[in-house]
Amino acid sequence: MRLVTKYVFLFSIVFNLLSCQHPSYFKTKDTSISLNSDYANDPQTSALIQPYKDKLEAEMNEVLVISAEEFPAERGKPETKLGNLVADLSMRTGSLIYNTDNNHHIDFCLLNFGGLRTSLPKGEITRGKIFELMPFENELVVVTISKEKMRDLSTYIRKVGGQPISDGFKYYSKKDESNPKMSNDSTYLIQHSTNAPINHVKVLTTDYLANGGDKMNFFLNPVKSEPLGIKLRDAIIEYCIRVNKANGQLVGKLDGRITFE
Amino acid sequence: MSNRRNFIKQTILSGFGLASLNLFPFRSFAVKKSKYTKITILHTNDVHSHIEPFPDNDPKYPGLGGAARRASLIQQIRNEEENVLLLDAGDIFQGTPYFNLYNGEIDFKLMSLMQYDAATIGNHDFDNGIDGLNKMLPHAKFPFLNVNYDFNDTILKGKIRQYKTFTKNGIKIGVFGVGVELDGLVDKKLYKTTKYIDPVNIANKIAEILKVKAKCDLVICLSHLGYQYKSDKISDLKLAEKTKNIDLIIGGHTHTFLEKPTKIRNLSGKNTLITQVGWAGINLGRLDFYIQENKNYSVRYQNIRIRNKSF
Repeated sequence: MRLVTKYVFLFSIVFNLLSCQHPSYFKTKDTSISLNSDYANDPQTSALIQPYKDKLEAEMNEVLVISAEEFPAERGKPETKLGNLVADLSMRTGSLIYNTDNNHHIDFCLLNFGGLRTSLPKGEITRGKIFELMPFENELVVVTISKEKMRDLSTYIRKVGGQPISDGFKYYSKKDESNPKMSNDSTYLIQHSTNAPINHVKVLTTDYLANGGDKMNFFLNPVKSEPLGIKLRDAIIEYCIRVNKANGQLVGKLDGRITFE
Repeated sequence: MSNRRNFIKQTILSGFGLASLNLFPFRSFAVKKSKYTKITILHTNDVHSHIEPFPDNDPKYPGLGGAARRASLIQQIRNEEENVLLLDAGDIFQGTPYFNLYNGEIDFKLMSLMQYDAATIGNHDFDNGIDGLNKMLPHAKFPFLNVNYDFNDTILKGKIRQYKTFTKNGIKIGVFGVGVELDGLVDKKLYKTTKYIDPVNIANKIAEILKVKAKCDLVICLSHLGYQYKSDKISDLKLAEKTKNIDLIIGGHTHTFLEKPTKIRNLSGKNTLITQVGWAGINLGRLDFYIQENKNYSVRYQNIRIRNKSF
C-alpha cells in the first residue's frame, strides 16, 4: 500500500432494507481516515495549486495600510473602535456613490458586530486580514425606512445594547426608573437632517442585514431598497488604500455615539 | 418495468475503513465476484473553494480537507476499484479568496484533474453571475447536470445537460441534477432570466426516463435542494418521498454532515437513499453498490474524513 491509511472510528451500518418481515439491524460507529502526511498530497494536484497559491499569497500579503492601534473585535459594548471605523468608512464610501444631489443623502450607516469577524492588529494591515475581517460577500445597500420603522430600529439598538453605527447618528438611551425594562426615554438624532419634513430615513447597511439578518426586521418591507453595487469588503479595502496614499494610518475613535444610562 | 417486478433488495452493509478492506480482503470478495458487480460512488458537496485544508488553528475543522489530499485519496480508491464514479452536488464556488481572485478557474481545473464525472449547479455557483459561470465552463472537463433550471433564455442555453448515463462493467448508471429555488437566495441580476421549475415533477419524469427507457440499473440525483427544512420548502427528504425510480440522492446546500445515508420509502414503496457530506471538502462520501446479476443490490457506506495527520 502506497498510501498509509489509518482509521480512528469505524462507521458501520448493517441493516436490511428489504422487508418488514426480516429483522433489520444496524450498528453505527463513525468513520474517519487520515492520510499519512508523506503521501497526503497528490503531487500533480499540488503542482496545479502552487502557482495559484503563490499569486494568492502575494496578493493577500500585500500591506494596504498601517494601523496606529489595535481594533479589537468586541461585543456587548454600545460602540467599539472597530465598529465605528467600519461604519464610518462605509458611510463615506456609500455617500460618495449615492449622494449625487442634496435631496438624496444617506442619513447614517448601521452594521452589525457579528459581521466583523476578526480584530485588526496594530501595525501592518494586509489584504488577507481584511478578508478575515469581512469574509462574506455582503454588498452595501441604502434602505429607506419609515419613521415608524426608525422607532423599531431605536428599540432594537436598545435591546441588543449597540451595533456599529456611523457618526451621522447619535443615540442616547436613558432607563426609565419607574419601569427599567421598558424605557421610553430613548432618543435618536440624525445629524444631516434637511429642512424638508422627515418622513423617511435612509440607512446604509448590507444586503444581509437589509434582508432581516441579525433580527433587523425593521429593514423588511422598506419604502425603498437601493443596492450600491459595492461589497463591504471592497469598501474597507479601498478605504485602507486611500488612507495609506494620503500617508495616514488607521486611527480609532470612540465618541459616545451610542450611550446608555 | 421488469425491474420493478424484481423486488430490489437493498442492504446497507457495514462501512469499513480503507484499512479494514484489508481485514476483509478483496480475495474474500473475489470468491463471490461472479455474483456481484461493484460500483463505487464517490461524492462531495459545497466544497466552496476550499482548495487548501483548514488551518491547524481553526476552531472547528483544524487541518481538515484540502484538494491535494482529496485527490490523493481518490487516486488511492481508483487504484483499488474498477468502477468509480466521482460526483459533486454543487456550490463549488465561493468561500475563500481563491474564488475572489480566480473566479472558480482553479476549482474546475482541480475537479477535472481528479476526473469528476459530473456535478450539479448550486446557488453560489451563480455568485459571479450566469456570465461568470459560463466563463468558467471551459475549465471543467465534466458536465454540469440540471433538470429544473430553464436556461433557454440565457447564455447557458445548450451548455447544461439534464442527465448523463455511464456504463461501468455492464452496469448502467443514470445521473441527473436538481437545483434550489433561486428567488430570494440569489440576486436576480446574477441569475438573470434563468427560470426555476418545481423539481418534483421533472425529477420524476427524468428518473423514469433513466430507469425505464434507458434501463439504468442505478439512478442518482445530484441535488442542491438541501436536506431538510422546517418549512414546506422542497428538500431531499421530500423529493425522495414524492418520487420514484431514484436509488440515491446525493445532496448539498444545507451543509449537513449525515452520519449515515437516510433511507426513505419512495412513491413506489421502494427505498431511496439520501446522503450528504457536510461542506468544504472535509469529507469524501463513498457508497459501494454491490449489484447482483438480477440487479438487486447491497450498499456499503463510508464517510471518509480528510485529515492532514495520522493519529
